[in-house]
Formats: sequence, C-alpha cells, structure tokens
Amino acid sequence: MSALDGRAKLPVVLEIRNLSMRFGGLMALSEVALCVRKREIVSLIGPNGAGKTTLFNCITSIHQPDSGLVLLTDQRGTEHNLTRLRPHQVTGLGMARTFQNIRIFPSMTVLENVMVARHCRTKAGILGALFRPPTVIREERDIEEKSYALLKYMGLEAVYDEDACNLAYGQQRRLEIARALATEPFLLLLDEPAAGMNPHETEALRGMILRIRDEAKLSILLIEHDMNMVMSLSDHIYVMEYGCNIAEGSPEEVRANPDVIQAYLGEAHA
Amino acid sequence: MRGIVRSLLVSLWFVFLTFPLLVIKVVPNTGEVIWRWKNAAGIGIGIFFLSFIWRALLVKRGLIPQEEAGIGRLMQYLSTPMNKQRVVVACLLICGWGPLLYTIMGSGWSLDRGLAPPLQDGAFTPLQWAVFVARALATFWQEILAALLSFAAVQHAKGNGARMMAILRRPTQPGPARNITIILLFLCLLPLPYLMKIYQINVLIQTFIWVMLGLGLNIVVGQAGLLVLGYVAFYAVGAYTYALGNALLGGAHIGFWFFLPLGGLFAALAGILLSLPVLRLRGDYLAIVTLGFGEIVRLILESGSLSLLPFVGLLPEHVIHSLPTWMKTPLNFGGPAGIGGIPPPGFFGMRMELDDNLRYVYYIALAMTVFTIIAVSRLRDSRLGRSWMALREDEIACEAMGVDKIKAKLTAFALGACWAGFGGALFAAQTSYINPTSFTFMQSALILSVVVLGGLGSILGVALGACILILLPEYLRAFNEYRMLIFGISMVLMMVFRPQGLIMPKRKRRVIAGMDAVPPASAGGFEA
Repeated sequence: MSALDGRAKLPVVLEIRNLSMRFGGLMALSEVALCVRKREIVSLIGPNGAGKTTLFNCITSIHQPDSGLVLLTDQRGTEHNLTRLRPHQVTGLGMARTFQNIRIFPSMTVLENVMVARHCRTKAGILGALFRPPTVIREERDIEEKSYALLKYMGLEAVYDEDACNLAYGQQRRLEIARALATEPFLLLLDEPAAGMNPHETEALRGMILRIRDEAKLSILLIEHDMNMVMSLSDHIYVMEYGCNIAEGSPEEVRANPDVIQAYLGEAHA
Repeated sequence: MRGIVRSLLVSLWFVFLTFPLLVIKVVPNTGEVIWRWKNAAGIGIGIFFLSFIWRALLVKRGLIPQEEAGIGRLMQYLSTPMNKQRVVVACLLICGWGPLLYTIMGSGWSLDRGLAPPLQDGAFTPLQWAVFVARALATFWQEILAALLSFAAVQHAKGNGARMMAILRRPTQPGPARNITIILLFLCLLPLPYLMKIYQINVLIQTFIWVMLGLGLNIVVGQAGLLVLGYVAFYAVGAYTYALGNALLGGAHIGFWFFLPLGGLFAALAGILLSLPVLRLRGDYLAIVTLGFGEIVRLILESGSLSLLPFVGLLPEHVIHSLPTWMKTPLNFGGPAGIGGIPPPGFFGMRMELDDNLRYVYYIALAMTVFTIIAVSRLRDSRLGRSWMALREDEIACEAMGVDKIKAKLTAFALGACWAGFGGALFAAQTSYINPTSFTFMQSALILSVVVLGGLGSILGVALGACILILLPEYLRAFNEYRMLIFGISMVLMMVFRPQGLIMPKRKRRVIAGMDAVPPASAGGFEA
C-alpha cells in the first residue's frame, strides 16, 4: 500500500488542515496538515520538540488549537470537527490514544483500568448503581467480560488482579493499549509505544500493532523514534520539525528525502 | 549512650513545648498562677521512654537507620526471643521506676493525697521511714503484678490483634461468614436503646450521624480525590432545611419524613452550586475555596437572615407592590441563638414519650446508616465509582478514556453533599434545637479526620474512624483538658506510622472463570 495512487482510493478517517497552536511566544504547531486513511498505519516522526505530542494533544482535544481543523469521519461516514469538543467526546466518537509517559491508573487493578475505559460505551447512572436492576447487572458482567477478553488479547490475563503500578514497564505499555482498545476505537493514536523497550520487546510490539490493526480493523497513527519499527510498519510517514510539516510520503520516499536527513543528522549531510 | 542523650533532649523539648499548657495554670477569677511542676516531670519522664519506643518503631519500619537512632542495644534486646527470665527482667526494669518516681515525686504528690507521712523539718522519724519504705515496696509489688498481667495481655492480644486485622483487611468476599457477622452485629445494635441511658443513646445517634457524614465525605475525598474542607456547610444546609422548613410550613402532615429527603436534595443542590466554580481547581486550591464556602455558610447563618430586598429594591415601586410577600420578607435563620422547637420525627401521628422518641430516632439513624453503607458500597463498585477512582488517579488519562470529567465531579459533589444533608436533618430532629456553633470549621476538620484516620476510601475504616473520634472523647471526658493535645499527637503518629489510615480500602474482588487455566509464567513479554 506504499504507492501513492493506491493510497488515494481509501476513505479518509482523520484529516488535519492548517492546524496552528501557540504557547505564549512559542509557535508549537504552524499550519500542520495530516491525513489518515482507513486501515492505514501512519507514522509521525521528527526530532525531539518538533511538536508531535502537541499535535496529538490537539487532535484529542486536550489542547485547543488556535486555528485550523481536525476532521474525524466516523464509521457511518459523518464528519466531525474535533477542535471544539471535549476529550471524552472525542473518545466517544471512536478515537483512543496512549500516552508517551505512561498514564495508567496506578492504584486500580489491571482489570479495573480497562473497565474504566468501557465508560463511554455503557450507561448505568446513579439510580442504576443504587438499585442494580437486571440491565445494570448484565451491563457490569458484560464490562467485566469484555475487559478480561482484552487483557487476554494483550497477554495480561495472569496479572488481572494486580495493582497496575506493580506491573513491569512493558506490561504497563500493553495495559495502556488494552485500555485504549476498550473504548472501541476505529482510530488508535499511539504516542511512542516502544519508548524504553529493548529490541526484542520492540519487535514483539511491532507484531502486536500489525495484529491489532488487522483484527480490530483500526487505523493507527503512531509517533515513534525507533526508525526500524517506523520504516517497517508504516504505510505513510509524516515528518515534522519546529512545528511544521517538512516531508511526507512512503517509507522509501522519506528515507531518501534530503530535508529529512538534514533534520535528523544536521547541516553537513545535507 | 547517644540514644539516651537524644531521648533526654527530646523529652526536654517536649517539656518546653507543653509547658504553657500543662504546667502553668491561671485561676480564672483571681488571676493567680499555679505551677504544676509534677506535670512537667511526668511529661519529661514519659516522653523519655516513649521516644525509645518511637525510634524503635521507626527503625523497624526502615524509616531511619539503626545507627542514627542510637538504640542498637535496645533493638538487639527486642530481636531476641522472649523467655520467662527476660520477662521478669523487663518487668523489674519497668516497675523499678514506680518506687523511684514515688520517692521523687512522692513528697509532693502523695502528701496531697495523704498517702505518705508528712516531711517535718526535712527529717523523718524512724516510724515514718518504715511506713514510707513499706509503701514504696507495696507499690513496687503492685506494679510488678500489673506489669506481668499487662505483659500477658499484650502477648495474647498481639496474636489475636494480628489475626483480627488480617480479617479486617482481607478483600471483601461475599459469603456466609461475612453475612453472619453483619447480621450478628446488627442484632447487637437493635436492643441497645432499651438497655442504655438517654445520654448514651444520644452519643450513639451522634456516632451514626458521623458515620454517615464520614461516608458522604469519603465519596468526595476518598473516591473522587477532591479535597473538601467545608463539608460541614452541607450538614448545615440539611439541618436548617428541616428547622426553617418546619417553622415556615410545618404542620400535622409535613414533618421529618418530608424534610429528610428535601434536606438531602437541598444539600446536593448546594454541592452542585459549589462545584460549578471549582471544576477546574484541584488539591490545595480546591481545599481553600471549599474552606471559604464553609465559612460563608456559617457567617450567613450567624448574621441571622437572608433577604432578596437588595435586589427587589432595585425594581420600580409598583412592581414591588405586586410581588408576593415572601419575596419581600427576609428569611430568618435565628442568628447565633439558633432555631428551637424542631419536632422529633413522627410515626404515623402517634404521640410518644421523650424516651421513646429518642429510641425512635436511634432506629432511624441506624436504618439510615445501614442504607448509607449499602448505597456507598454499591456506588463504589459501579461504573460511576470507577470513573471517580480514575478521576482521582489521573485527570487527563481519565478524560482521554471517555469519562466526562465535569459530570463525574458534579455527581461526586452532589452525592457526597446529599448524605451530609440527610445527616443534618437527622441531627436537627435529634436535638430539636440547632445553632451555628454546630457547624464550624472544627466540625469540618473532624469529619475529614474521621475519613483520614479510618482510611481514605475504605467504608469499614471510615465507620471505625467515626466510632473512635466520636465515642472516645465522650468516654474520656476525664481528659477533656488535653483532648486537643491527644488528638494532635495521635494524628501525627497516624501520619508517621499508618498514613494510609487504619484500614486499607477494599475493592470488590473479581473472580473470573477460567483464569486459573493460565499459568502466571506466561505473563511477561510479548508473544510475537
């Protein structure tokens, strides 16, 4: 799917147009554009401080961008502008994310971590919690079963009753992915999932991401520094520097792009 | 040696700290100053020994290295197993202080009580010496006996206590044993009002109300992690709803049972009202704003009335005339004098004696406490409870996982306040008279202490905390003067040795069928 003409035929899931964001005097993002198509793995790379995570935060409405559009097209084909929504509404529409610095709920159990993420797909309220009618009991059992199935999928079922903070680093990363999947997304945003992993674990993660894409039928937008992983996974790559797009294309095109080489290796190689 | 010097310094420091409170006493009417030196001596000696225990505990918990504590020999002594000989030595060591203290302080202290012979010109007659020595020896033996007994008790309690705590801290497992315990406890509480005096029934009702308050605050502070320091304001809203409502529209058919839910509702509304401006605040800032809210409510109650006149007065004259009178009359809170004559709860229009009424209130309080415990534990295990917990753990991740932060905060505030409202209405019904002094910041701090002492987030812990903080002061009225001192010391000790509270929060234990089939070894690493 690396050829551009093949790409153009797929329907667009997420489109970002002219997104700008300013922190005081610092232009964190200027006129950024990006596009994710259905069932694609799109990577976002760039040196540290290029604005990749800021872009993620704008997409998920944690930050409000100063200008520009973030358009999400849901499964039914309706287009939503995300820039004025609140983060939980974005998740409700079907986009989930993980965080660069792991943000699991440390003193909840592994299973409960995933169960929380079922929140936007369930609806028991105060009265339901107090009186526990059969529908609520069924819903709770359903939440529990679905969450456990996800843990099993991510290979975490043996530690389901541990406090999440007691998990090993790699397990915490997988828990974050399981939690994101529990919100039933059609677009998954992964912020440096391989950070701090050894080559063996990274290789396993690569397989896992591909498997998730194919089995859960997702599109994936990925920030990553591990070039081997990015090059072998991605259908399409965007490169950012100083808050701007500097290049995009298939892995081969990006690898050969002189601007990218300059951004990563400095002037002398340009 | 260094340890002894350290303990001496610590004890001196404590004598200095407590000096104004424990040693100097000014007689109110004459202004005469009484110097109670034996209190200073008592504190000094007491702290000297306590500081050893204190440091031993710190070393045991690994909070300070053993070398720094300077109690190497003590630790060595403690770590070797006990035998009879060592028990006797320990008893002698401890009890040896009895006669010594007796001799040192005896001259002053026992003279007052006529226990020892008076000192005449600094010299004893042989007979007086004999009596003195005999008494010293008698105390000595007496204390050895007491010490042996308490040793035995401690040894016995150590095993049982550990077992008790293990049972209390075990994750909740629904089963016949647990249900039987709960039913037995409930059955023990049922006949109490017919066995106790009025005063004691009142104390128990108070305890129940405080359990409810603690559990309500626990929703906000323990589960949702929002530090609220003005919780008593909601309690006041509930109490004044009943008091004022009764004064305005009370009658034969509108009484406690009408105002109880109304009190809860109004308190919940007040909770939502408070939470709207503080949705963005966390931690310290939230604490300060809620503290202010509590004080505002108290000041309004103290100032005596609330009226719409400042706003109504801005309207043109003829509009004012056409307004209903209730908009023009101020709402009278009774000021510092409070509101009296609040009727006790009715029971199908039956007339009851004072005693029976109190018993009736007791059963209502008991029933409501049971209701609160069930409701709160159900809320904790629900979808809502999980969203509160997630909110407490990580606000950003919680939102990113699809939890509406604002809604979660609003419901936490509303539900937490609601129980304070119920408690307030019940309190008004119990005392039949309320005034603003029941709703000061001290009360807010006390409710928070109940939650923190019992264990943030733990339902059983909060109930236990309420019992300790409400029952103990009632039964330790003898130490009334030092209540705050004891309170402060125990809080400091709690923070050092059990910062998580007496009882750790328990969660519903989830058992999933088929989980045993998976060997735990496969947990690590990806299966690529």
